[in-house]
Amino acid sequence: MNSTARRLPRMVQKLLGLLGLLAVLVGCKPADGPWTPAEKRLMASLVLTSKLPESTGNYVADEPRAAKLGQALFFDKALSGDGKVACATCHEPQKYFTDGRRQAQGMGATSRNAPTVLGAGWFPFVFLDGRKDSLWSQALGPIEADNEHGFDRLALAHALYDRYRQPYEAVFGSMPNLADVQRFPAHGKPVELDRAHPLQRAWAAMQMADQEAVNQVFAHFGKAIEAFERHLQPQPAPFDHYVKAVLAGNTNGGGQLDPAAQRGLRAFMGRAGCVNCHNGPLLSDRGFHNLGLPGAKDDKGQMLTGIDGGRTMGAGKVKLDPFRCGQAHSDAKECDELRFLDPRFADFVGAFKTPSLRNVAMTAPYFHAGQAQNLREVLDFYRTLPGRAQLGHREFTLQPLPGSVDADDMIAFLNSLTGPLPAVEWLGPPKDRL
Amino acid sequence: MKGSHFLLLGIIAFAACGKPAVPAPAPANTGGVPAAAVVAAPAVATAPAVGTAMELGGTSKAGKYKITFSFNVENMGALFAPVTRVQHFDGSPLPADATVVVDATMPAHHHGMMTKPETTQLVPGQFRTQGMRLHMQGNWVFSVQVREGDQTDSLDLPFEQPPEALPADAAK
Repeated sequence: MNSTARRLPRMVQKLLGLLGLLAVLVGCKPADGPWTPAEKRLMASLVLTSKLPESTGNYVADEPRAAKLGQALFFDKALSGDGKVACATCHEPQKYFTDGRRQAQGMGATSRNAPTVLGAGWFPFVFLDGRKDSLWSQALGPIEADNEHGFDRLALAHALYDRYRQPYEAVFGSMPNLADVQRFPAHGKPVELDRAHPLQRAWAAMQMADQEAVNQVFAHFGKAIEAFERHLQPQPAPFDHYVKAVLAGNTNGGGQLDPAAQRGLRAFMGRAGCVNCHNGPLLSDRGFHNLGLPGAKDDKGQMLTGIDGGRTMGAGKVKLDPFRCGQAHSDAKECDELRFLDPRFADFVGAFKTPSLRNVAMTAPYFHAGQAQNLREVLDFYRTLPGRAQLGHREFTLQPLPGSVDADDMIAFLNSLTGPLPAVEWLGPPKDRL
Repeated sequence: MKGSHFLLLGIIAFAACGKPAVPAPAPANTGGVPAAAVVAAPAVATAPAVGTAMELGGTSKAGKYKITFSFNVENMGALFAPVTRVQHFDGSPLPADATVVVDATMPAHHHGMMTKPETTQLVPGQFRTQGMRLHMQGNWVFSVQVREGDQTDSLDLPFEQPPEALPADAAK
């Protein structure tokens, strides 16, 4: 050492020492090295594409007038039992179409976190348990749920007739004569397993043809909502710009990701194994997995009661949904997604949909019932995988995050998935008259 | 502080930089990628590209049949419909009442597909299976089971599902 030191000028020795110290002070985390062809190929597969899948069974899905109508309906609080709940209540534009709550809150408390609407059109099955097979049929569920909009399909049809008749008929054609309250009572809906329910009795008293006419209006409502929601797409994020730059030969990715985010990306695709389920342009395999999550607390800190069956219930429900693909109000007749769906798939028990990680930093809390308040809690869960699955079994491939995976790096990478909101014209009710 | 002390400090400081979350440099043949990442990352380098016309096949386990299994590699999660061709090992054709069952599993993940495929006979000895879906990238095993009367024989065919294809507009 001394002989080497003697051969180097004193200034060079000082410089080396200071450089070493500096490296320690700035974190000692140099880039991991150039991306390999395999890594490039994998990261390329995660880049956002503009090719939105076709709608399932909605012939007006890409009709501009339907989108404007759906936009107005999405923000209309009058379409609820108490006049205070709109779709936008749980899907607030400025919160990236989530609500910031552990569990969604409509007219009452629900047991699940409100997922973002951004990119929802990419998923063949909708809701966290996939109990709907299209965006338009999804929109029908919350309307009649007592703890969400608390509305009913007859009241909805009347509201459309009274306030949206002209734009509705411009898209879907003539409405039934809902002014005839003898044929079309003010309220009513099918209520399964409760024939004595007043809404069920009102519904059952109607002619079958009139019931079908109301169901048609109900389905059209959902189709207008879907036409709007198809404009709510995740936008390219720094991650996408980085990958495109790297693929174009720019080794530093245009400076779009800092070294921590790059290390996070490498771990995401490698050691951490996240990409096994969070893959493709939405960073979701669009499948369902059981993470073995603990029970959830509500916003007051009380534990929720009951155990959620997740996908195993949703898969059964979607097979029986009256508004599913191939049924009277669907415009699709080829329904391979449903035809080959196996509700008895063992790993569906206690499983929930893999969420997109697009804009994930903006959509806390996380997991299907808001079990994690922030991304660090999410990583803490994956680090330790505490406890056992409440139902079924935890995904076999899920292993605790290795100690070498740095939480700060992972969060830096996840932050790089935040893109801008969609065009401002879609972030509130339509400004122009319908 | 002497110059040699600065040098020593520098060496120690640089050495310390090898310890954090960043894995150790990999051997030269891995192209500089951290060794841990090479081990754990999905082995996408060997997977066929989306769109590749695949023809897998071989002799069934008990030696009764020659089987070929053809399909186009689809994006992960997309439904696809492979065609299976079966003949007796001696080259004689399969009778019309023979049936085929096709399945796929990920042995390392202890699971199969989320779908329930249906296989129909196109002509004797040739079958199409609809409703196949490989919902994860990585190593799968197709299982082709042939039933002829009360006799069965099968063949397992490993396949590596690639990640989603690079969208055409991704590089723009």
